[in-house]
Amino acid sequence: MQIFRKLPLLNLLRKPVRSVILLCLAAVLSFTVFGGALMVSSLRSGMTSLKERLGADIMVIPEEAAEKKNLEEIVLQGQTGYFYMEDTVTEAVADVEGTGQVSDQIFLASLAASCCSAKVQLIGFDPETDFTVLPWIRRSYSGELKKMEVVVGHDIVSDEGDTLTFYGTDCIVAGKLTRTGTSYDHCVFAGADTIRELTRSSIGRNLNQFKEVDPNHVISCVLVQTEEGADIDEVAKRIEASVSGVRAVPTSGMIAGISGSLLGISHIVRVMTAVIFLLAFLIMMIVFTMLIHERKREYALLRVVGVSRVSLTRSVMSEIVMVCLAGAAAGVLAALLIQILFVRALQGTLDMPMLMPGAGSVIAYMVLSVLAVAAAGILSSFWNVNRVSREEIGLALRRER
Amino acid sequence: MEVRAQQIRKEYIRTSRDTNILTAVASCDFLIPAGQVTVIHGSSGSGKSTLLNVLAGILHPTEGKVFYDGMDLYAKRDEKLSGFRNLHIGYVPQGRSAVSSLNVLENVKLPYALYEEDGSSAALEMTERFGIRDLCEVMPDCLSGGELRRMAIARALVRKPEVIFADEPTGDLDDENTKTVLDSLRQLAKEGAAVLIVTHEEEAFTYADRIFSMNAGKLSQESCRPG
Ligand SMILES: Nc1ncnc2c1ncn2[C@@H]1O[C@H](COP(=O)(O)OP(=O)(O)OP(=O)(O)O)[C@@H](O)[C@H]1O
Ligand SMILES: [Mg+2]
Repeated sequence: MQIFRKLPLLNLLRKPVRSVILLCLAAVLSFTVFGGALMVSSLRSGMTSLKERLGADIMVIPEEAAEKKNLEEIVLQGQTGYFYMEDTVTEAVADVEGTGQVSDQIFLASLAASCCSAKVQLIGFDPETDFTVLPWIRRSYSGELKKMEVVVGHDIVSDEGDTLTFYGTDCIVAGKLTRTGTSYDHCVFAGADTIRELTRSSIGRNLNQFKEVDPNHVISCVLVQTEEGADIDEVAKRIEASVSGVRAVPTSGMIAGISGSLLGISHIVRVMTAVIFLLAFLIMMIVFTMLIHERKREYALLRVVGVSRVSLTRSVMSEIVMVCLAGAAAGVLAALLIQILFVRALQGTLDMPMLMPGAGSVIAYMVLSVLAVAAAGILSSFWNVNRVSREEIGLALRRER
Repeated sequence: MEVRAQQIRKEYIRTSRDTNILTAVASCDFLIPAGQVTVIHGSSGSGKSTLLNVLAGILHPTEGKVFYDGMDLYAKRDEKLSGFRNLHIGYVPQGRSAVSSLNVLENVKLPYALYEEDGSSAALEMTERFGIRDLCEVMPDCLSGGELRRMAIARALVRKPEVIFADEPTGDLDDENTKTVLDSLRQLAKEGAAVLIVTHEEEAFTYADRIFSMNAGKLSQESCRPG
């Protein structure tokens, strides 16, 4: 290739210090844009996955549980509380006017440590009536759950075919669920038969206090889908009125709550991203302006030798675009790496479900961020480059000779 | 190719005692004939570089026109004018003039590179002639003033242009290199080029066909070699 065409590259390679500074600037810029976008969209898809998990309109739990535990944590973060009531509640709830599908679940705590260091939560659901867990399980596991088979959350370190022991009883892992970004990722799911078996073996280990409830007829909560057109709040009130000792919690209120704080966080992230981007953009503009003016005489020399205004502009701009693209690519990769490494920690700090978007959207975000930085580079310098290339050669040549 | 300036005048806007305008070159006609070496000398600040730039097509005159073989130089569009400069004009600027991220050889062959030509052999020949062959791979930052100057001259002459402008071409050079440079310019004039040298060196006068002096923007002819 001829040296004039190679000039932008040579300028970068043969002035390493300057190039590294420019690269860093571009990297900061793309890091912010991409990191911000990734975070906002992780929060969003965390939220979406949460909503999907939470197909129920109303959650019915024992009265004392509603006081004991933060309801939002139970419902939204999937943090199971350990509270129990009689399974007659299910039928009673189903009889209330306005309820559609009704299904109960039981939450058990287990120290079964063959798989995990932390306490594992067992969630038992009734495959006959379930409408929240199964659709989700269907995505990663297509078979029927047989007796003594369980499906594990994404973060449980067991794979299909492994054996997990709870209260001395063995269960086979039949499948593993996709990530949700919530505490459900640490849960183990089992069908009604299996869970009854486990409940029985757990008695006497003093883990789950069923109190006066018969362990063969114990449940933790009833999930309710209201009939089409029914007023959810009304139905909840009716349930509380006709079934004694329970609280009926409409989930939409909670989702609205968490949506609100999610919006808040997304907003903060967006504003911060914008501020950092603007600052980096300004710095970039200053640096490019200095750089371009410092090289005025050199540009004039090229013009004397026969470089036209257009080719000079093209040459300088391609140098800038090159450095922006390279820096931006580095920044984007760094952001991706950090996000992958620290997404759990972030999720913990923000106390929000976070779920990385799929590879396709991540790649799209990456490409868009890199392009955005290249565009910022062009925007921040084009005016100056154009001005310098238009300057009268005879005058520009007088600089610092 | 001959260069003819018609009633050119150049003013700068500059605040001084009672006026805002400095006439760097007072209105004059001027001819650089093909095949001859024309020398301009004069005190510092008298307007020599300004005149040279106007003639070379890189500084618009306030008034007047510059013709290259009858073609109005400043009427050309930038794209055309740039190509014309590349092919026909050799320009040695006053002071240092290196493209800092190109090594010596790349600097010298730059005029060829712009239009996708190689020019390596011509460039090597030039470095040989001006004694910088051993420095071909060296970056300009590491060169002495004289070496840089010879590099700039080599670059200006590499395409064997028909019109050559040299602003203090021998400023940093020793006697031997001064002679080489002036010999080369003389030689190109003999081959038909129009050569204009701005200089302080008395030495250059012996190579000149015509000598002009410049004083506060006013040009006057001092001598003309017969023939
Ligand atoms: N851009 C400018 N704006 C205002 N005045 C200028 C500008 N460029 C040059 N001048 C003035 O014009 C005059 C002529 O300058 P020029 O560079 O042509 O002189 P010169 O004869 O080449 O001097 P030297 O021998 O020192 O190179 C000087 O007085 C200089 O200060
Ligand atoms: Mg001068």
